Amino acid sequence: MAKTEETGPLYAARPEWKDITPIPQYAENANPIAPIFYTEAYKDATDYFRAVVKAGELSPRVLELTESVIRLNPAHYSAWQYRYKVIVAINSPLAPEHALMNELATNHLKTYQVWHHRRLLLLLAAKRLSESKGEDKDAIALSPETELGFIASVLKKDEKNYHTWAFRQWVLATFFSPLSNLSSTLFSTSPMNEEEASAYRLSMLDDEIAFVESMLHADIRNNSAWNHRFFINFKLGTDVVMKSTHNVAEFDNEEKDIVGRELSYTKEKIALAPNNASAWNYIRGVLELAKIPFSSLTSFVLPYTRSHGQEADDDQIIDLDNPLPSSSSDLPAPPALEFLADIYERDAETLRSAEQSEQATVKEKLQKAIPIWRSLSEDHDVTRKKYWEHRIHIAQITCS
Amino acid sequence: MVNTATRIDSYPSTTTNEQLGTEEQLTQIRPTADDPPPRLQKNAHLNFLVRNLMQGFPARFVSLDASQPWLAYWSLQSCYTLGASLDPNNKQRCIDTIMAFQSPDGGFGGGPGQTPHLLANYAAVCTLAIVGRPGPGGGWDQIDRKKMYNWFLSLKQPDGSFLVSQDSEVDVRGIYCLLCAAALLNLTTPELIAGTAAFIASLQTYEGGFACASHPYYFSKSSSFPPEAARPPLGEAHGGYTFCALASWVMLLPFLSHEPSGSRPSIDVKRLTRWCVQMQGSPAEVGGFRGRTNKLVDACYAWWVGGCFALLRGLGVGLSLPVPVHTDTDVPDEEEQWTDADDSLFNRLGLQEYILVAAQHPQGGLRDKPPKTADAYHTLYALSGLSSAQHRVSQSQEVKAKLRSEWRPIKASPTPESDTISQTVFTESRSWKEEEGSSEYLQGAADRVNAAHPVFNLTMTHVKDIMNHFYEQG
Ligand SMILES: [Zn+2]
Repeated sequence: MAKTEETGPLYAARPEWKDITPIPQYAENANPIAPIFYTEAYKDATDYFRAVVKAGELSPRVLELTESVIRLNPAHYSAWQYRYKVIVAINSPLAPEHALMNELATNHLKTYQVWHHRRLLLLLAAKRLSESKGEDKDAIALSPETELGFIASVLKKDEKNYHTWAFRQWVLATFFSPLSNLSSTLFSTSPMNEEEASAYRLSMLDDEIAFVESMLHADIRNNSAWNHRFFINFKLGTDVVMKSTHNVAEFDNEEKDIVGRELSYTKEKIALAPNNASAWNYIRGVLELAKIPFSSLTSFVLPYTRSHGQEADDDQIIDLDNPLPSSSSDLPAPPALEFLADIYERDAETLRSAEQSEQATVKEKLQKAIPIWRSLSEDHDVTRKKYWEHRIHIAQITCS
Repeated sequence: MVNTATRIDSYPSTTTNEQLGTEEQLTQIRPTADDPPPRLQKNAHLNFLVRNLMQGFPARFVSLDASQPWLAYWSLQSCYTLGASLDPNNKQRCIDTIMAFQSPDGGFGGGPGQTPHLLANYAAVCTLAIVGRPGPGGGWDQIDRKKMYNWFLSLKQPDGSFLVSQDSEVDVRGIYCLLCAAALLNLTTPELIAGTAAFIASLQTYEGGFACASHPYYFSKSSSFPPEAARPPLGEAHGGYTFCALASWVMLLPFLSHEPSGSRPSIDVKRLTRWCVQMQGSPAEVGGFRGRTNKLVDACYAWWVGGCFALLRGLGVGLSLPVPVHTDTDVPDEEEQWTDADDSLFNRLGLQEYILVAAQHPQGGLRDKPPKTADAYHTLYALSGLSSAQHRVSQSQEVKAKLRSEWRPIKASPTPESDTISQTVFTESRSWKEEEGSSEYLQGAADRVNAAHPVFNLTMTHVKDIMNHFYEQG
């Protein structure tokens, strides 16, 4: 009997599949362009897969067949899609499916489908739980908390995996956001009242901050982790994001605290590695979101724009709000120079839009930015020469 | 020479370790002053492509079984970018192969009998744009456009996005692919694109680039805040997604002016431009592009990010008002008044160097970076990226006006309104033009590759032919 290692005997050789006539991919005489030379096992499994799809069969043996196809080619999206259809149709248990996904996800991290399938399973579990009023013991084996634990273990090995981070954010937004009407409490074994649920949600977010901190501790330049930090603090259905998007209200004290905490945190990280673009992008993002002028960071930024040994006198004074660049860092840091020029340009814009703007002061501000851009284009960031020249050009038009 | 090696601030981490390793690799293959300058090995690449097309792929490429139209598109578009073309027999073989992927329910899948999928559908339609023709057996008239359109609508979500396939994920690549196919085949309607621009806008992250998707909060509780406020992007700013989002935005923009300004979605173009230029690597990285902050350079981003600059120019970036030069007697028209302040916002020759030095595999085909092997995907996007660095392509107001004045109403248009929509898509898509005298080559014009349409990544001729057919023009 013909056998393959991964999936057992060929379907063509299995008596229980005798009733199915396999459908080959191409007609006998076809001469396709750019063909793939499949293994016998793959040809066999997909020939049977095409046949059951055509017949519309939704059964346990098709579940097994889709697993074979997926194991041979995890990017076979049609097999994944059909597998999900079968699970729903035959009310297949979710716990074993989820266990299988843990195995497949670990081996095929970069495949879209492994992450999307988990998403479908979690939603299906939530649906079965709410329909059974929490009695579905199979569905309860899947929970958003378990999911976050699994994702964390994957991210420890592949720290910048795009789909894994995106999936983590989806889990958080779906089950731990006040804006979602699904909640992780669906999966809890003891009932919670609304107050308890809300306290629980907040404690989960604290854990999430701790998680992202551990990722940043492992690699301060992991941009995925910085992006995640932004997501937790400012995008998870908090009022902060809605207020900033729609300008409807002032930040309350708690929200101001978050912004303040994030600015301090990022400054400290910039002090450790002043050329880390991720941290600079983050601090820019926080300022823009909170509508705080860039110029509020002038005293912080200045020491990063000078070479070592060119410190201004007051740089020596210890200022806890404005940590100094570490002594062995590479200065001046181009992101700091860019930031300083942006401070001047933005100040000029603010002046220009003010009612009684003085053309002279606008010009003065811009003329402080121009030499910085010039030094970037000629010395510190020659790759972006054209871009810095473009910024100078725009400023010159404004001045004339 | 300035040392442009990444500054690690005496504070190394995994990111800088990998970064320095890559810079080391790139330094080793960079030719010295005594070596002959790197040239585009057109013949070696064509041999690689023809081998893939004619002889096919060994079994280890099974993961591409669900991407068969992509294998055809990457290989064929690479050939035509290199200026080669296919004989009629092989064209017919391509058409027949692609038509076997069309689903009886509409749309193209990744192979025969596979479910239709928006990504596969784009690759199939583009392949037909390259090798197809009108009439029996030519592919174009055998596309079931009605069914494809209904399939598109079946994938539409309440937040304006689209699933890439039934029960599958939302991904901005799918939206780009849908909008391209709709534009090429004259399938755009207000119903199809309603809310899509707002979805695209929701993908922009604080960094300026775009993420893969955003969370819809489908189940959103009633809130005093409008739902648009609560659509967090899922994932970080990324070159591939940014290209797809920006190209989608450029396609949707002409329809936004009809919406009241208060509810009109918007994107932050300045922040996007900054993000795009920040993706270009230093001389130590031979000027290639990376796809995310603090990641490594990779040849495919030569197109995904390098290709964004032509699209940004379509949004007015890099065009600025110079000091007026006209006299009182000559009234300037739009064309003369707005001239380019600079030839480009990125380092065009730097990017060409990356493609020629780092991306070419000695045995033919192009690659991510040394010491990787060449593959069909990187071959196309490295060549397309080279094209975006060699040529300057922009929308010509002159061509747009001409196309509009020559427009003949489409007989099959159900309403005058739908005819106007068709006209808009047609004139916007067809007005992209290679600017004469704007080409720049690192070593010489012998390395020239054809200009790519900045939205579709097809040659201008193929866009013209297929659109003229489906819009009944020309
Ligand atoms: Zn790549």
